[in-house]
Amino acid sequence: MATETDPQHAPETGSESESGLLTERYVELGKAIGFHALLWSLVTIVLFPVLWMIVVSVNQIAFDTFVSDPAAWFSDASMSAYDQMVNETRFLTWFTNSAIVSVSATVVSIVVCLLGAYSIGRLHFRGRQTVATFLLITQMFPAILIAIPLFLVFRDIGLFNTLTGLVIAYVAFTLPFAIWMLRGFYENLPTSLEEAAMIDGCTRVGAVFRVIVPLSAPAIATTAIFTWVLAWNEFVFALVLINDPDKKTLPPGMSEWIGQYSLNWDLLMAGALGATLPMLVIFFFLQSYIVKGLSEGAVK
Amino acid sequence: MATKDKSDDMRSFDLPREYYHWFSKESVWGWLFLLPTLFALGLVSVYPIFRGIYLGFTQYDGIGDPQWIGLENYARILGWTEMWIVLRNTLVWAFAAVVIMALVGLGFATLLNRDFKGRSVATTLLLLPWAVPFIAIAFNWRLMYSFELGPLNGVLRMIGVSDGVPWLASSRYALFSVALAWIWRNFPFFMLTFLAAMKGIPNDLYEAARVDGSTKLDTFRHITLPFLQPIAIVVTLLMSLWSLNHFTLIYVMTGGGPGTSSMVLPVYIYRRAFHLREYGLASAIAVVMLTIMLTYGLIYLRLYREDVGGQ
Repeated sequence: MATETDPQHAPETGSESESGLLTERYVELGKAIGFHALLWSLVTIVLFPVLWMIVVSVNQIAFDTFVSDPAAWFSDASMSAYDQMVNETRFLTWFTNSAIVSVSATVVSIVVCLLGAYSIGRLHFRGRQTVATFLLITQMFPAILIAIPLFLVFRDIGLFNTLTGLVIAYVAFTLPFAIWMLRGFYENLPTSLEEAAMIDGCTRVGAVFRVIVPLSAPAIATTAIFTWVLAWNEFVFALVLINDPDKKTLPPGMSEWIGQYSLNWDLLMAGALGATLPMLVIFFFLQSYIVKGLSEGAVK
Repeated sequence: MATKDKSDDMRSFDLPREYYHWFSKESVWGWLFLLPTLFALGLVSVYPIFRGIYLGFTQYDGIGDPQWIGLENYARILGWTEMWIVLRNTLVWAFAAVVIMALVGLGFATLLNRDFKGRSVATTLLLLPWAVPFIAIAFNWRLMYSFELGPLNGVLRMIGVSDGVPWLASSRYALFSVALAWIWRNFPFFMLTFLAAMKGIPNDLYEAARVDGSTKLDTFRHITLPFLQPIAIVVTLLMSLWSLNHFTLIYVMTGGGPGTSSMVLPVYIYRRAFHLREYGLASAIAVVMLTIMLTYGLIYLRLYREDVGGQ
């Protein structure tokens, strides 16, 4: 493994007068500089679209103009797009709907998933492998194939155009993934845990909620984040099951701006940033959970 | 994966009846706890799937009753050239793009897999695309590709290569352009997975290779890559499944256009069902998609069990 030397300290510490060692140090230094230059320019390229989204949201400007005269962008910058977004569009209504739907779906999904994951992960009974495989197979159902009959059913029983209907759809949509994530954690807990609790007089349900749930709080948090992100991002069901403009969630609602405000790039970018904000907040505060989930979720 | 299924042990209790195990305490609790899950999935996943398969054999415009027409929908689909274009696009979207994604992820993982100052900052920043919702990515990349305002055409004009390319509006570049946004969003997933896997490679192997005088490229090819291969296959298949199902980016960025040049299966099915009210025909196409995904998914499951399951 190449150990990178810190560029600032490398040359000064070279007290040995041997010239061979010195050139070696310079080669090392050159390599370190090259590595950092490469890495950080790649990081900048990756982040550039997001940075540009912020630039355009405060002042709609062409890239060429911005490069030749950044001062012009700065002098005309304003929050008018954000103002328009809040006061002239349904953004806040959709944002609220999205928040209601994704939070309720996550809460219900986690409660249901806790029991399911506990059952598959910790109880030994005939058929649990089959259920686990069945959960995986539901992940291979195309969302759009489910959406068509679901639309017809919801239309007939009066759940079409209701946020409740959407929450029900999202709970089922996120459940298999959530159970699959949490069950891996439960399998690794020592088996004596709830036995001890039950000897002390707890019921099975009591043991689950008093012993297992508190112990698995971090895993539940990770699962909840991923469930919430799935729901916040979901598009197909929201598009098909909601028609009323006041009941739409953010993704399908905002997709209509493409036709309506196609030239108001500042408004489009302000909306995009508004939709991103909750995810960014979660990303920065709960990053360790997310990294754990992303890197282990697939492997486990 | 659990291989320690103890259900077989129950037989050793010498139970009076063959099926007694269904009534053991753990079994009752197990099914009881699964009840809400099975109820929700039955209602919102399994029942609609069967009704969808049924609809595939009918003609139905949403009013009245579906009319049974047998295999007619499937005969119609197979005869369309349009359908083959959509299938080809879907393959490009769900396979070619995913392979590129994996390569980009591998590149970044290799860069990050060493000790240097600012490593965790760089990792966090590179994960950022994952924290942008699809709808925002679609808006963001529409702007990137904009003819007048977009940075991509801006750079092309500044270096004098061309007056600009209508990325999303040309049938030649549309699919490729949306795929690039999809790659941007998902490479961090590969990066993290590969980084985690690289940590598991024993260091002695690299030491031994260095003593033998291997170059860095040699160790990468003969140590790192073989170690990453099993997990790489599994993660690539998983991402392909997710890509097959993905809807938002194509729907919002190009709507499948111009023409059908960037049309993929989910968007195509949506249009057939909800714009043209051909619920029966749309369901038939969705059943074709289900077949593709199930075949694919079963291959995934098999490899998953073989390669990662034994850990």
